[in-house]
Amino acid sequence: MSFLLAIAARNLFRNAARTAITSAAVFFGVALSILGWGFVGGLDENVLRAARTTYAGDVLLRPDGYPTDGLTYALADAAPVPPDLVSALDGIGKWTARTAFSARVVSGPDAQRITVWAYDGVRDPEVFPRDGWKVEGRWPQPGAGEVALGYRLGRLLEIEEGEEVVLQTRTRDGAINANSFRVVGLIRSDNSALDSLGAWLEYADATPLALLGDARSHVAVRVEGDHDAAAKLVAGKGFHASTLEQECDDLLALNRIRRKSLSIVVGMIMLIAAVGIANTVIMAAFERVREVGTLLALGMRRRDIRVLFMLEGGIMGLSAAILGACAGGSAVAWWSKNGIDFSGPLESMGGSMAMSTVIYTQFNWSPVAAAITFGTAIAVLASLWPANWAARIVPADAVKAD
Amino acid sequence: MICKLVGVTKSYPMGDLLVQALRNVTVGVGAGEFTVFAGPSGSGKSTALNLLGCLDRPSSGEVLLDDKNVASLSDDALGAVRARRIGFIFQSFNLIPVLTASENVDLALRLAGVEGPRAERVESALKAVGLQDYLHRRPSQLSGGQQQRVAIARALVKSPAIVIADEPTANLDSTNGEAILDLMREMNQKNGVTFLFSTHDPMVMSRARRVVRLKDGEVVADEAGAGA
Repeated sequence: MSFLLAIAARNLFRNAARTAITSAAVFFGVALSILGWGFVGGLDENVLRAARTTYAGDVLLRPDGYPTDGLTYALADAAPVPPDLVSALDGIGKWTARTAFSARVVSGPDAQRITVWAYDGVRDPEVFPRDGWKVEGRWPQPGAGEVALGYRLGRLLEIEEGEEVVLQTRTRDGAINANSFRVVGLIRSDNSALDSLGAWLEYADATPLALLGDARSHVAVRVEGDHDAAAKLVAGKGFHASTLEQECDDLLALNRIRRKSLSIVVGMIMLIAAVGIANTVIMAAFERVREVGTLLALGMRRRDIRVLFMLEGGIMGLSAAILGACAGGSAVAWWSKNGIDFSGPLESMGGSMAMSTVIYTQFNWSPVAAAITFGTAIAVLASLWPANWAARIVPADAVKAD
Repeated sequence: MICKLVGVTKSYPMGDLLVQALRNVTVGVGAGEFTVFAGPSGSGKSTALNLLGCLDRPSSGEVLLDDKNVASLSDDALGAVRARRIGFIFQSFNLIPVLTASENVDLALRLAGVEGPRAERVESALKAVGLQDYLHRRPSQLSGGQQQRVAIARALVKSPAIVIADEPTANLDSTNGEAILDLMREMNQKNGVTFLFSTHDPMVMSRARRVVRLKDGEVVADEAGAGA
């Protein structure tokens, strides 16, 4: 076998340009598949991370009747957290309650509709540790008339740290109210939507603005272990529960579509590669009829001739797949550490996506191994027919072929 | 007899016709012979060589090698017979271009299933044809005459029962052709190697010890050659 391998490897260099062109299709197919899977995997992680670290935790509860579309914040449907739910929540992990409401932020002649998140400054960081968030300035102090804004909102309204803004909102009983707040922090979170249209107020400041009382719109819980089981433990106590995965289902479904589309594109590239390899191997067989006839005349078995040509296809596929995997894998590994900044495209979408502007690709070895295996297998299978053709050559005729 | 055709007929389909390349031919080659199958194109000499070299099977009749009928053997079994018992020299040399001279010679030993160190045998075979300084050259780096010498070394290295050479000088100039023929004649005389040629070259026929003439698929003469 090692001798056949050596001959097969040398044969590939007889027409190096043709081998290189054919291998390029496998190279790009493998590199693209690893890049694509790393990117879509990174998108999944990004969506889950954005939701987990900025509003949902592992399990998110909303009062019964409260909208679940994640876009509507109906203050009238917010409700106090009942004592039996508090007990249940205390039993499963760390939790925090928030109240979201719509408001207008006014800065001089400029105004923008935003969502204000009223939060508990003690509990909130335990559930949302804000690791990796960038804060220009600091978080508001309770009762100090301070607010933190998403950094892109600040940039849109040209607000600097320390400036005053006015927040206007309808109170829980429908009246219009407004208060002046000092901007003490511009927040860059993991969530582009919050960065563009979000503001954070301590309950001590939010309650008088919107007359919240003890009404809460969201309860986010951090749990160890199974999210579904945790959700079941706290459901049915005046609040309905959904897991992190259920919260992100729409965006994850989009990613599943992306993954399928990518598989189709990669499949088509690999099909082109397979046709190219089959063509290259059959050309090699046609060009080497006399040589094959000579090998048969010298006593080489037909199955060894078949193996020789399949090895040529296999080596071509394997080497191109390894190079493609190195290229694609290195890029994915680098971007998994350094991230890709999608601020531009996400800003052009108005910051409506609940995901980070920096996407970290997901690197793991299984797609790399799968792509190499797939690329090599395609090459070997594509060589099968030409190899069989070569193995059936009649030596008496072939040794005199031109 | 080392090998023999007994009542052999070989037919080829050509369109709707069946062309008879050999018609009930009986001819054999004994040990130590230096025999030529001569005849014009289409006479059946190459077909006879292919059958005696186990490269093809007869339509009817027997092909005997060491008194055993090999006509009905499987492809792999015939391949094994060729690998161990028969050496080939071709008109176009037919060296494997990606292998060096020594690797081409070694290939014959590998396929013959020769165990153990082969390098010494390979070097000795190439030295016997005067190519001891060209061991690591590829065929593209050798002249036509040198390539045919490598082919001779490849045919002889496994000590075959018979060497079959199909027009071995046809692609060589007269000087190289004569030199190659002299080399084979020397191996025949010194080492008793059996050679069987096909040719229509008078120079080759002049060195043969036996000339079998074929015409239209039949043996028309079997006579002593000028080299006898």
